[in-house]
Amino acid sequence: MSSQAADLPERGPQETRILPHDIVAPSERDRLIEAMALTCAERGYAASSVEEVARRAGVSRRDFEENFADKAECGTAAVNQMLADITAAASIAYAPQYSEWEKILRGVRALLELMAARPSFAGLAQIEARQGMGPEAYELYTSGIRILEAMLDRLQANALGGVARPPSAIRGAIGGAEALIRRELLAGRPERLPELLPDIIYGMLAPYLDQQEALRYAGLARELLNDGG
Amino acid sequence: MSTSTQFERERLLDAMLEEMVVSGPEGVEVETALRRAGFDGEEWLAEFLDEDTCLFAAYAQLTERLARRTGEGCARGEDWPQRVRCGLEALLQELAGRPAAAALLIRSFPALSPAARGRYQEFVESFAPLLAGGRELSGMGAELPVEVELFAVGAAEAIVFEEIEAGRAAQLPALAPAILFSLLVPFLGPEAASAEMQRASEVAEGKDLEAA
Repeated sequence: MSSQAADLPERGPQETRILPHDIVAPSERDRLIEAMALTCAERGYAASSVEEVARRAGVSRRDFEENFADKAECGTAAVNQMLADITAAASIAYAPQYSEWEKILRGVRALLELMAARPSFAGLAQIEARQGMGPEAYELYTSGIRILEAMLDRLQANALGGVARPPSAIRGAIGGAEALIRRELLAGRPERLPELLPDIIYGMLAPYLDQQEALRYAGLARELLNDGG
Repeated sequence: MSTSTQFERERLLDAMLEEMVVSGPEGVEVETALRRAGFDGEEWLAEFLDEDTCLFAAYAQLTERLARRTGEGCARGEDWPQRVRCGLEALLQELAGRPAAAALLIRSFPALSPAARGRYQEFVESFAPLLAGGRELSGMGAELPVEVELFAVGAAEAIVFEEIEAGRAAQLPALAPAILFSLLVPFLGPEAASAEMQRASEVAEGKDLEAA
């Protein structure tokens, strides 16, 4: 990979240096990743071309090739970046002073806010990697799901006792949230994602808690949302 | 459209679907599907000049069939949890019986374009009204979150999707009790959902014994 400064004298036509207003990342590689996410959000991964991604990032095709072997590598890098951001956001919410239930509440809120702020990346990680890209991207998507499953699995220790839950209950709890998120992303309403917090919290906690208790946490989520706290 | 034309249209779309299953949506040729359906082509080509239109119509035929089978399954149940169980079992049987079509449903067709992924999402969302009875049965009515039906459908879809994607569509019917838990738990709570899961396992074991 070459640095941006080293690349500048070798650049092609003047127009490739003009950055579109929607790409603000400082490094060439990051700009390409951002351009990939934006292009996929508009056209889908299959219809996105290296040329379009490079043009959008304000670089030449040669610059693209110095950063990525092909479209798939750039696409998986973009998915990877979103997964890293998701993990970081969720980890911050997992501060030791909170109960396991509050950690889930704050973690989900952080994820929804992140996805609302970066809808292109959210769509890439949630929709394209799952159904529109190759096996490597799907593997990244499932590894992200496994991280979330591990976080949710910690609830088992404090869950309502005497109940036989199937192992797939955790996958289901995350899948329910995903369905709501995907609907908003596909409908072009990412700004609504944070508002889903109470409903998602209820659905995620329902396999583990008495219903009234799950509703109480959904109420707390609503308060958190209204207070912005 | 007359009944015979409707029948011919469905036959063509079935052939198109088979063609998609065999060649993948990107390798499909309308002419091959026409030959498969035994048509000479020209009048049907006029209806489906745009290959995309034909692909989307064939996919709609697949999703409509799955929705119909699910609805027929639901109709066999006497109470709400049983209706959900019977509908789920009918859907899983359909998917298990045609693993290649199941893969087309969740992966190869949606991979075509954002519009195709939108169709898949619509298909998933179409199951939410089938769960509306759970709200009443829960005794909590409006207290339950607005999105609880879609949440429950999404929970089941995620489990089914992973199994199909892993090449285990044929084993889906065996997972029906576990998937049922995820469908019922937002409405009934963990204890009642677990009891229904147990009941579904017993029913399945009874069927297995009968079959043996």
